[in-house]
Amino acid sequence: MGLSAQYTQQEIDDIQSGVTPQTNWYDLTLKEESLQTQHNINVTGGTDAISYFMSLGYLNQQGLFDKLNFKRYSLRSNVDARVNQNLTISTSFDIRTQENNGSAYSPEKIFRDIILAYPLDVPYNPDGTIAYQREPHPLAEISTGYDEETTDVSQVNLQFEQKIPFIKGLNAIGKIGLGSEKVRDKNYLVPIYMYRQDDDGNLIEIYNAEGYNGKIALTESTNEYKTTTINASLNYNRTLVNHSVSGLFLYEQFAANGNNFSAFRTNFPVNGLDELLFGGDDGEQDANGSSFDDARRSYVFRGNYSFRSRYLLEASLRIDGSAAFPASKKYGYFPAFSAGWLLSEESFLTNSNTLSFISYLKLRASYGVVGSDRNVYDDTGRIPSFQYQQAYQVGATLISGNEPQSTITPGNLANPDITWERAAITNLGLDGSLWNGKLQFETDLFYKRTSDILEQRIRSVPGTLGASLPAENYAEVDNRGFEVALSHNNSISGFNYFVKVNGSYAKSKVVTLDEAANLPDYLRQTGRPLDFIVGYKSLGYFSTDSEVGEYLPQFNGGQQAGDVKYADVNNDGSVNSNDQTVISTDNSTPKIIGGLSFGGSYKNFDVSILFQGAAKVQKLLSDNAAIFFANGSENTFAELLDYWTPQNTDAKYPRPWEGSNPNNNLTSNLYLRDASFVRLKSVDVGYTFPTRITDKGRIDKLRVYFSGSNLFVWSKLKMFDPEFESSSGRYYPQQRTLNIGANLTF
Amino acid sequence: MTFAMKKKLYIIYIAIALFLALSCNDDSLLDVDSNTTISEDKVFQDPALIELYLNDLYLDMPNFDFSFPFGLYDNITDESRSYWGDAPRNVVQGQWFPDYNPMEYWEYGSVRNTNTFLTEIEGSPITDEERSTFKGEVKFLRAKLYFDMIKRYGGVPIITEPQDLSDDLFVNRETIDGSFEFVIKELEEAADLLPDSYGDRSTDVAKANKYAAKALLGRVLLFWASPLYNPTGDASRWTRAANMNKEVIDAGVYSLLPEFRNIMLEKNNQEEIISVQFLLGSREHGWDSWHQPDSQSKNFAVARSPVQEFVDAFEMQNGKAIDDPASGYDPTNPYENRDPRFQKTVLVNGTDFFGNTIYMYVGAIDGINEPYATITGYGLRKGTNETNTTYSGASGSDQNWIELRFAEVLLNYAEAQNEALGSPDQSVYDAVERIRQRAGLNPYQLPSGLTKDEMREKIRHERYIELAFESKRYWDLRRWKIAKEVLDGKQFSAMYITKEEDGSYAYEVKPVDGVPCVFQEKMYFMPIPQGEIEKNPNLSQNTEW
Repeated sequence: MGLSAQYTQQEIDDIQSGVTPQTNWYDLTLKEESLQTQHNINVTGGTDAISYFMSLGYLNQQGLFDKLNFKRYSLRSNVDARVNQNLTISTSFDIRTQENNGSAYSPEKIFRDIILAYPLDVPYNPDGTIAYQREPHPLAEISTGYDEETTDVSQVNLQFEQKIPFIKGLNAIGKIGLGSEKVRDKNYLVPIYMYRQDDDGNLIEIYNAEGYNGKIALTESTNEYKTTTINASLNYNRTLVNHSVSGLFLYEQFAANGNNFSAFRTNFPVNGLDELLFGGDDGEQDANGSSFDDARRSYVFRGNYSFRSRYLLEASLRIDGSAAFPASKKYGYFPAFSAGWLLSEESFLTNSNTLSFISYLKLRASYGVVGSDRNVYDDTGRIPSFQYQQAYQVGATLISGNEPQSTITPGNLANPDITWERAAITNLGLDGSLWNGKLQFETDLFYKRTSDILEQRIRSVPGTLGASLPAENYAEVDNRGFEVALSHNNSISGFNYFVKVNGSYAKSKVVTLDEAANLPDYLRQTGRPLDFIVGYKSLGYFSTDSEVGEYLPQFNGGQQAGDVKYADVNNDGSVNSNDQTVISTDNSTPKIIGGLSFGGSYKNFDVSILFQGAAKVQKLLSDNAAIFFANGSENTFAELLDYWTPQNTDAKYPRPWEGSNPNNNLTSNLYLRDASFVRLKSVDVGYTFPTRITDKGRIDKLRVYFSGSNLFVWSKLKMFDPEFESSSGRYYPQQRTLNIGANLTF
Repeated sequence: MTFAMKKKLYIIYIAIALFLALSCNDDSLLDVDSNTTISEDKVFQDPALIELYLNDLYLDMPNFDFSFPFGLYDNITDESRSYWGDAPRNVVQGQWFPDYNPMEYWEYGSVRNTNTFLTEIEGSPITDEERSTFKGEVKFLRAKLYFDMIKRYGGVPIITEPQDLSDDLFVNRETIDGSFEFVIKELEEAADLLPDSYGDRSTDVAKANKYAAKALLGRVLLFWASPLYNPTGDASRWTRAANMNKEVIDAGVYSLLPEFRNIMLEKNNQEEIISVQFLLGSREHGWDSWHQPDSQSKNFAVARSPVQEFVDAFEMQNGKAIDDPASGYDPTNPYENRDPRFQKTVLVNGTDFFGNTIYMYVGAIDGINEPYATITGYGLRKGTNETNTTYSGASGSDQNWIELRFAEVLLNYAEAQNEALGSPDQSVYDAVERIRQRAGLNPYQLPSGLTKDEMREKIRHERYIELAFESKRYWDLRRWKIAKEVLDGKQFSAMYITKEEDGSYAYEVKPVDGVPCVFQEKMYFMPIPQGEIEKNPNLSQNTEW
């Protein structure tokens, strides 16, 4: 077909027989294992008047490649002082410093570039210089430039607790908390200078790939976030013979302020000069900054009543105010009620011999409404968007009359009625303990209706409106499900063991969501679970070119043998964009999750093992996991070798193509994968030294342990970890960790 | 203190605390506001902020193709092909649909911004003169937005006010003629409102003035007269188009730049009518980077590989086509003595480019079909700044994007006048010959006594060569309704150059790839985006989509 073959048969044979050397970019870039160290020292103690707790911690986690590491130093302390019999003053502080170091290129990019690197390319020239690569060079990316992020976090609290002496059971608590977080980041981005050998072995070319437009650039930024929380409450708690009454009034206010500042320079004369002052003085520099405020105010009223600890009742009202809503819509009112019945205290159980194996049985029922304003905050949950205003923000730079000009651009359309989202949760539960605690269970049945969900009506409002839409209190979604947890504890002649099983099933159903007016019924969200996957239904592959002609017209034609054949879902005699349908009601959030843990101790040994699993989860492959030679010539995964040929008609992938093939790249069940799994999440084995040994060293307890996490996974999906975050395979993987440690108590 | 006093004190404490807590409903605490935005009522009350918003509207003018793999509209015609596959390859293969159209331009976000401006500006505290200039500029920009939609979809919904969510949002499509008439009326109004000049050329090039509005109107009228949009062949439209373009020519404000190679390099030159300006460090594009051969590329390469058919379309310097036996064309030395625009447009094997000699023969470092190398044996030179050393990826260059230049006005005039008359008059010859003279053809004159049809072919040829790689050709092929004839089923060609032992080159033409072009009748009008058809029951889809 015009093009000559890229490789001769000899070259192909040499590659397959291993005569041609290949580069394993995974092995070269990533470390087989990385170290993790953790130390903690805790001190607790006190007198009648003062009690204290202090903790010092250190964590050092190495990443999968050099330069990637995480360090954390933490210091925590609590001191409670009983000033007199009615007044207790407490202070606490929690200070952390974290250092997060890495390459200037993100781990996701490095994983992407490892995937893309060609096995037939060598990383270095014979003289040690970086060899020219068609794709970004992952080895060079991890060894040049850096990103250093330091985070300082502190939270300081002061609390007074005053008993009101003349009303028995009443006390008042006041609390002030000051929080501060400061993140400093320094990103030194260095381009990759690549050299290519010509046929005579001379190094002839210098490439400065990547970097900031091929140049060195330094960005330094500081983000500060400060919070003040004031909290005052009155608590009342009184028991009179059979009647218990308690009440709470709580007031809380929260104010936060954040600001960020960043500076950028480029055109550094030499790699290694990594302070801003070395940057070139050529106008290509930038300083930027902004700030935000946030606030919240809450009132909580709660009353509890119980009779003979057998019948329990609670009613509460929460009033929340959010800065993100307009003046008349700031407050939301959220009531809740619950009741409990301790059956095991009833005479028909306590007096029954046949039911005496029941040591504890409680029936619970509750109904409550909770509010949320998270959808009008940014991803960090810290910066409110004031969507009730029509506001303009700074836009890109325009050049006009050869001069840079600032611009402002309209933000989203205002929604003056924006207010709280509400979720009404009904819960029914039964907890019990049987045979003296040998079998314990907790079961929950829940029904949650979320209404006034803050959603943009992007599905139904035509684009001709031309505005970015504000969130509106519009959608309604139902969630139903159950949770079960069972545990069994026992001890047989010195052997203590436990088994715990938990599982949950949850499904959602859309009650109200805006729908496009002309959307066919089978694509409507209403009445269906959230986020089903829409795509084409693959009927397999065309086995011959003539089959293409015999089949219905598919898109604008042009398919060949080995291309995907799709179903004519709406039976209109042709396959086109109207033939998309729901290809899976499961999505990447598993509907069923569960865990199984068991373990035991015998003499000085102890062991515990945890399995986790998920089912009814489907993931859709994309990019290099679904496309041959993406973007013209990118390398791809070995799984794609299972492609269609006349001899391999049952392949996972269609015929390979170069360039693009929109027919085969469509979202269809062909690329849907069942990502159910069972994972051996952790194993922990310990040995506690006998006291006769430890006593000599004035040690209360000494335990040494070995633990491992993410040890094994069983899944139908072999290509990636079933919990992969990016369907293109470009993600930092879950690591298997093995720990050896000691706990020492004096 | 007695117990009673203490008790009173406690009650007072609690009362104060409760009072403080509950009385905070004045809500100074929750009364926070965004520090990073400006409210709309402030914007239109402040002349400085109005200008910033007007600047934003200019930002929406289409310019260089920044979407990967850069160069869509040239790589889907008979100009060039893309190494990168992706969108241009899909379009070439006919694989574009209502829900996937790389050429989609449903630009109602920008339209809304112009509508908001035109509505709110009425009450702003500015002089009447400022107001009329502002309105003229925004009407120009809005007309351009609509025109760029109409040329794709035919009739579109015409919305002239910023809608609210409570308005009837299911707007019908206007007819093709109705849509054109709206744009024409708006541009006529803009021309009346706008000043002749803003005082200096660099501003006149960036902002719409009276002549920019008239020149754009000349283009719009030409499109409306063209076969695709004028199925009944209403000849009066050609006359109107000729007259409007003649007005711009006769105004004498613009002239051709003497050197064709420098059209994009001499910024804000006398030929530029409306441009999108760039400035290193502030707003950059990658024209110099996009067209590098791999050996000197930085983070991108070979956005456009010109096809052999385009190369063959260049005449000899003597003005004769290469298939004319009298042209003197030598197939063993195919690049000698061609139209001087040839090597100013196309990068040819063995010529210097950004200081190095570039080799694209089979097996050379930048040889045809090497990774990240040309797929046709040619590269692009037009408009590149060969002294630039800062190019990288999609940045490092700051040539203007020339949306409309005087050469196009001459060609628009020549075409419209030729179509309006029974046979071409001297003014048609003059307009085309001005361009051929500037190109350096010798002789530059066209043969005399051409028929209307022969002249049409000459003008179309001249547009193909002169306006190549300015994203004009695709729209010409469509409006002339010849896209199917020129593209459908065609397999475009590449030049495989072999270096012989003695250092000479042998030339062989082969297909670029195994992919014939697909251009179906229905594609003359693009499909309305699927999502819009789904949302708006009043919106009709174009035929056969």
